[in-house]
Amino acid sequence: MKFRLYLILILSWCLIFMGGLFINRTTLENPRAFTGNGYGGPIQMHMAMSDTGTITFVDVKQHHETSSYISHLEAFLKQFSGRPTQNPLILGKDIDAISGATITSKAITDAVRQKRDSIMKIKNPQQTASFQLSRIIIPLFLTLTAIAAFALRHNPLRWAVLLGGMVYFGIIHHSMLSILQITQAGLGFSPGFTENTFWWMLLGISFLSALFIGRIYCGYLCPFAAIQEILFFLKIRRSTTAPVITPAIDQQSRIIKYILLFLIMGLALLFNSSAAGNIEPFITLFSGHGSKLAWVFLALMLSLAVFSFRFWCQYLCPVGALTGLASIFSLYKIKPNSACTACGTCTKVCPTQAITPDAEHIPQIDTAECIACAKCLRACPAHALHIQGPGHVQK
Amino acid sequence: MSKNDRLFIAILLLSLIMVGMIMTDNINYANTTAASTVNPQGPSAARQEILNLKLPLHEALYWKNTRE
Repeated sequence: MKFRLYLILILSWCLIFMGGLFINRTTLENPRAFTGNGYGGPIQMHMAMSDTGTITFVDVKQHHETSSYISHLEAFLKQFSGRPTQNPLILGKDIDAISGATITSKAITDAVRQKRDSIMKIKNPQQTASFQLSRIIIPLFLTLTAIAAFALRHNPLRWAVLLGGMVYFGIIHHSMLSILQITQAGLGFSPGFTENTFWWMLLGISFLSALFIGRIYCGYLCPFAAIQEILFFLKIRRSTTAPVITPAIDQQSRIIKYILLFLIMGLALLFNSSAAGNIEPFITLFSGHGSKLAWVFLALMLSLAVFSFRFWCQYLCPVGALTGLASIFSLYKIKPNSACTACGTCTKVCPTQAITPDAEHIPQIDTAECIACAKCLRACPAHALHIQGPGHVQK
Repeated sequence: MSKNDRLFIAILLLSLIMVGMIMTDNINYANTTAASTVNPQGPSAARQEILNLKLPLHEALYWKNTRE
């Protein structure tokens, strides 16, 4: 029954996604504008220059950037006014970036410089190197370490990856998997690989790992998940992760994140903008930008994380909903073998209540809710739970 | 329904209301930003004309001042 529901959700989401790609292929663009590749897709701009090459103004006509990140766009664009040809127009050199929106700032700066140089027929040797190999190697390293921690059921290694992901993705780069990326992809927008390597790496890592072994991103790499787990384990409440609410209400409430996922995709298609997806509290936390309401919402989610294990993840996170749907088809899953004594230990220790006993009290793991923390694997007294691949014959 | 259940549902509803308000704010902002730059009646119309004509700056400013 639950599998059929997940299948319907997946098919519906695929239809919405395909619809978005079709709709945006028919959009006409202003041929006079020039574009830069921003975080969320093309940024269309206008520029006026004197005949000596001095820029008089730069104006953004259309963009798909996250609104809270570019609240100071007007002040940023004013930097270009009055710049003569001799100015190199390089971010970090003579142009200051919008704090927390480096990719957007760089896209605009590079596009303006290239447009000016092409009009004035300047061959500018000062090309900034935008591609960094570390943005491929470090995320891959973290992902492989996460998979190893899961396979080896190594809790300290899991915590090391969680903290590493929080620092690298969250604190240093302010880049984490967000419903914004997914809606942008659904709207047919995507940045170049060298302009925004993280955009591609995060999407690729999270979905490929979900299809391979489950919600590795959610369980090991998500910076906001790391912060929620740290808050929970402050031990303000009792140490068990089991909710203090009725299991039926808990299970039914989890459908909310799927509803949010479809609502955001639908609104993105309706308004041709990923702005509807800018609800995630971690964007406010790690970028430092947000409306007063966004900050209040962040404070609420962090407070709830102290009392309810990963409250945002379990009930509201649209990204978790999507990776959960993808993980239903994962090649490797946790399953009990014939040594299982139906003691119910795994059901009790599971922090996301992803394990429910069937009619014979044999545990059934819901891979859409499982965050691959391997707590059940460690706790099983009969060692009956294993990560099993396709074609495995249960003994 | 226990006291904890009612409290949980209330908190969940509050969270959803806040999510809805944030979503509405973001959509309004995105639409406002788009409208201000593509509205043919807005100030960007004058800029568009200047760009199309490719005038030298002093002539462009004269053109802009006479049109607005």
